Amino acid sequence: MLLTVDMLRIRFGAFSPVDQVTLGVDRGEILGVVGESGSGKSLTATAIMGLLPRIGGQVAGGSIRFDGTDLVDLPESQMRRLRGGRIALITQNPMTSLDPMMRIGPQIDQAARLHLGLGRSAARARSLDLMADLRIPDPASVYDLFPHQLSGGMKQRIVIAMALAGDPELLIADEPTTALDVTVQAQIVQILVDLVRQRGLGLILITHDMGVVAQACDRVAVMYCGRVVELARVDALFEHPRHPYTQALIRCIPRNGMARGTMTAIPGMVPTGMTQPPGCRFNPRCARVESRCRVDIPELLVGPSGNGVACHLAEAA
Amino acid sequence: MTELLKVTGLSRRFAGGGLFRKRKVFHAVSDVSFTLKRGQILGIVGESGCGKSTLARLVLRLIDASEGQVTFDGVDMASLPRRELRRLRQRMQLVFQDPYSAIDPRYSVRDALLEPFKVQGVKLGSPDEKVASLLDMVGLNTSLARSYPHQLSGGQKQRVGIARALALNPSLVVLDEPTASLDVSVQAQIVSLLERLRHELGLTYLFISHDLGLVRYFCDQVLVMYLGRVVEVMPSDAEPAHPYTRALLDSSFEPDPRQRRTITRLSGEVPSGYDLPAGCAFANRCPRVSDLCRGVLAPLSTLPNGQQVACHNPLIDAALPAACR
Repeated sequence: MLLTVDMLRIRFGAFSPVDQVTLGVDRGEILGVVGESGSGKSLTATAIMGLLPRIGGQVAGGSIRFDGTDLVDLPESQMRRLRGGRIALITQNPMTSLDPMMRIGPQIDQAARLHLGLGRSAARARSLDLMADLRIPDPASVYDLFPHQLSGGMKQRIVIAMALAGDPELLIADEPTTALDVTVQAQIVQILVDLVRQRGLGLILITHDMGVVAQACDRVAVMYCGRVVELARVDALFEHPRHPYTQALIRCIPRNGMARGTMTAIPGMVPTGMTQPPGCRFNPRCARVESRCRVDIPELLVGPSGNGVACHLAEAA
Repeated sequence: MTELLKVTGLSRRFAGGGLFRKRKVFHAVSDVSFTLKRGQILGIVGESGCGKSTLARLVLRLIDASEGQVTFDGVDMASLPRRELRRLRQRMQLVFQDPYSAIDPRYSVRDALLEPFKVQGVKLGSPDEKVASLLDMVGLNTSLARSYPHQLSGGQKQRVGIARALALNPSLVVLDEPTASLDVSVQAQIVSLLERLRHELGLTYLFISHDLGLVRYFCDQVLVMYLGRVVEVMPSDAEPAHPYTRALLDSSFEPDPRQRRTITRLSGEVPSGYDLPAGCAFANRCPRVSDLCRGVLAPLSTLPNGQQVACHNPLIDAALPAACR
């Protein structure tokens, strides 16, 4: 495994929004991390990038191993060398990553100059190649534009080019297509899939969209209220979802040819903040809830196949 | 079934540019026509900037049209004096993506639900009973009446928005992306609620969304817009005849790994509403483009199966039942 997260627990003061997060991704593989708002997807990404201290949080337990190195105890100076180099992040809003006052090209050059030690002209040539790879039309003229002169989809491609400039092995994409129109979203998803297949990158694709998961991912971690509730290969997840939350989540998405009135909603709502229920966090909304679900926290049991489920009622792996 | 809403040749242009710049005209909605029968759900779908929200506001006459006509239940809206327009508005309501963007944040749920009655000058015998029955109707606990918006979840806020829209017993409800900012599990709740209310109250919906999958699930008819124009009107289970509708459909992924798609690349950028091409606005991105498309706009014409499409080279085979091919 290129990256293994084991029983990660994140703490903000006395509050733990993320707990029992176990997942992994290999080279050439796409891991989908799916969940609704407040499920802890983005915090998990922030932890992997070593950026929790910047937002007042810390890793309170578990490990994050990248290519054999535990990132949790890594000094900031070494983490800084990895970040933007061997591990890169793509965010939902491209303008979080782009400097509005700087031309596009030099922003892409930066990572290559910093992490690969390339000179000005070598970095420029590399950036132009990357832009062409990402199907940006006429890279040489886009190189000299400012971010506001580009469309949303084009800006997101520039951000992907920036992430690739440091020649990463692991790419984390946090809702990279959520702010985009559907036709543009489809293009960006295709670009990410091609990158993984051609360059052998490991990709963690964070999304709330089960359609994107089904289209792009090899394996999936389903998160609910800060915990991973199910870990499975994508085909198994959609054919035989084992956690009641995964089952309900798949049933509440409209599909092609579905008759009106046949979509089933999940009753209740995602608990927020400090009001997490004891036991299994899905128990107040679960159709199959039993008394032990309200008391005991179900553990995520990962079998030798790499599949796992955190539910008292799921059959053994 | 009778027509509740008839829209004919509706257009809206906005003046752009400024004091020191050259005046420009932005074409937000151009020559849109459709009819909506009582009790039906018409979905309007398109990407950002296609004019779907402007169209909603034109239909309700919240903004005035540059050209065209909106007839509601046989009455031409433009001909109505202000007072009567206000009275007619009781019968047509709008639900927003974020309902509380249109409600004072210092209003409690009770205040928000009673405001429509105040505006319309309707005297209520027992306001508290009315609030309780409205909350009950949208599946909210009546104890929420004293809550304020910051205490509510997104789904609860949207239920309040729906209750408020239904307070005056409208016939037509325009739903402008009512679930776009909600989680999928909550989206399904709101969609089920809208289904139930339509049955119970005999409502007619105009449902605006960017999500073609959701629109095809929820609506009877789908109207597809691209840069302010209608490109296709079809029953929601039909196969698209317009290449743009096809591209939209191919871009929305099914939640099923067995139905993975190879994404065909759409080349070209979306033109600006300030500077629309003479022909079809989709021509520069269309895989089926011919010379005719670049120069001449295709009118919305009706195919043998009743589907309407504005295209010189429609995917007719796909739209026809097998027997007619």
